[in-house]
Amino acid sequence: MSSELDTMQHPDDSEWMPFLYGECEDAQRNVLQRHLESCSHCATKVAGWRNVQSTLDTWTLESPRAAAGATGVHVPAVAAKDSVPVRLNHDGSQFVEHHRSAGRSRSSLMTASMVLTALAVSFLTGWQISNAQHPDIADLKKSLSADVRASLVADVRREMQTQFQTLTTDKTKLTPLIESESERIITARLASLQASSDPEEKLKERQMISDILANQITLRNDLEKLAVEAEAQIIRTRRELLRLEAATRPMASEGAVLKGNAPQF
Amino acid sequence: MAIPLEHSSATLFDLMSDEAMMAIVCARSDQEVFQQLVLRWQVRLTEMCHRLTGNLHDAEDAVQEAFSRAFTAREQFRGGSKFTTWMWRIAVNSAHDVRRRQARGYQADALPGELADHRGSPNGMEGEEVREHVKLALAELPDDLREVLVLRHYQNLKLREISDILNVPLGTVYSRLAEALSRLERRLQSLNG
Repeated sequence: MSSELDTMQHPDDSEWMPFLYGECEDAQRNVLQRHLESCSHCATKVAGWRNVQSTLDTWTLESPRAAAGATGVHVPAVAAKDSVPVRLNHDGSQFVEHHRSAGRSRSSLMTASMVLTALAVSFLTGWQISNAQHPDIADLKKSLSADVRASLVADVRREMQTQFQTLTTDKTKLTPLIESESERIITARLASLQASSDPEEKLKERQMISDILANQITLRNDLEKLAVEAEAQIIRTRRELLRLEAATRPMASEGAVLKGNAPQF
Repeated sequence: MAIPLEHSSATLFDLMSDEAMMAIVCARSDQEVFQQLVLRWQVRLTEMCHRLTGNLHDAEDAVQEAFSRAFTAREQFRGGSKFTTWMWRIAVNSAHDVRRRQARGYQADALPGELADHRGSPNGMEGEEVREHVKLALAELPDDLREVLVLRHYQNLKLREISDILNVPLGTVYSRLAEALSRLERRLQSLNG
């Protein structure tokens, strides 16, 4: 054992940490794994750490959401208009109460407009807002004037309408195009099939015609699916816009929004 | 249209990244948007602070303080950085501060009075006894070792993320984690007799 320790170069304790927690590069993991298989000294050490890991796992917490109970988070006031601090329960109930009693302030409307804009733009562009994307705050600040926001919301609505019309038009144009093109090719292939006397050639032509027909059906189905999916998405987005608009209008006009003042696409 | 359909039924705020929401918070000092961030992260942060402080009461104080600090210092959040890295750093510091202010160090929820009387292998002990040993052993770790261990083992953060949160080199995270595990191993063995 002592001769083994003398001759082997043991990895430093800290080198084992990425290995222990599964964060090693493949090459490094292989090197360490090989070392582990041939070195009882390191194998014992790593086994000890793994035992600690599994022992640590015995300390489980009950759900903090349930355990946290009625205490909550207190966001400090920062300006005169925000002078009433908000008490927030873990389940958010207190927040809802505050939100309602605040009478849907102008602040709420502006915030909602910004959120609406971000959401709608993401719908239109397929931009998925994710943790990997970090908007430039300075740029965002520049774009926050009320006029710009109002203009953006209007633009988003117009753009949605345009997108929907474009898609509908494309579908109307593409379907006959696919069918006429398929028909042209199939007619040519049938002529070629009749003209040919070679059985092997005839077989190939039949196979090609069959493939063309299959492709035609697939293309038509894809187009239908795309149109249905797009239309469903437009409806869902419109519903979100309605909901948001209803939630951010003064309470007196809420009914009017839902009944007859819906955004038009 | 490249629209993620699975997102269509989510709430508006659910669709926004932390960083996008922070951009609004910074630009408008918007408490309501910040509250959505609180809702999103407070459970996870409370759990982390519970591990760091050893008890739920201090954890809740720490999280309360962390979010208050974050909102007050919102202008210091840079758009190019990750919200969670920034928020976790504030929460870790708040957890340490709460404990120091309480002037009682790490205090577990309910430490048993006669831990030293327990004998036998940790693996063979009743679950409750093992848990109490774990809490006691963690309580005795220095703050800098405990925080690395909690962030990696219980919060399941990557070592690189921990390095960013604690603002220390990656090698330091490795060495602290190794030291924490080694100390825990020795302590758990001694508790086991």
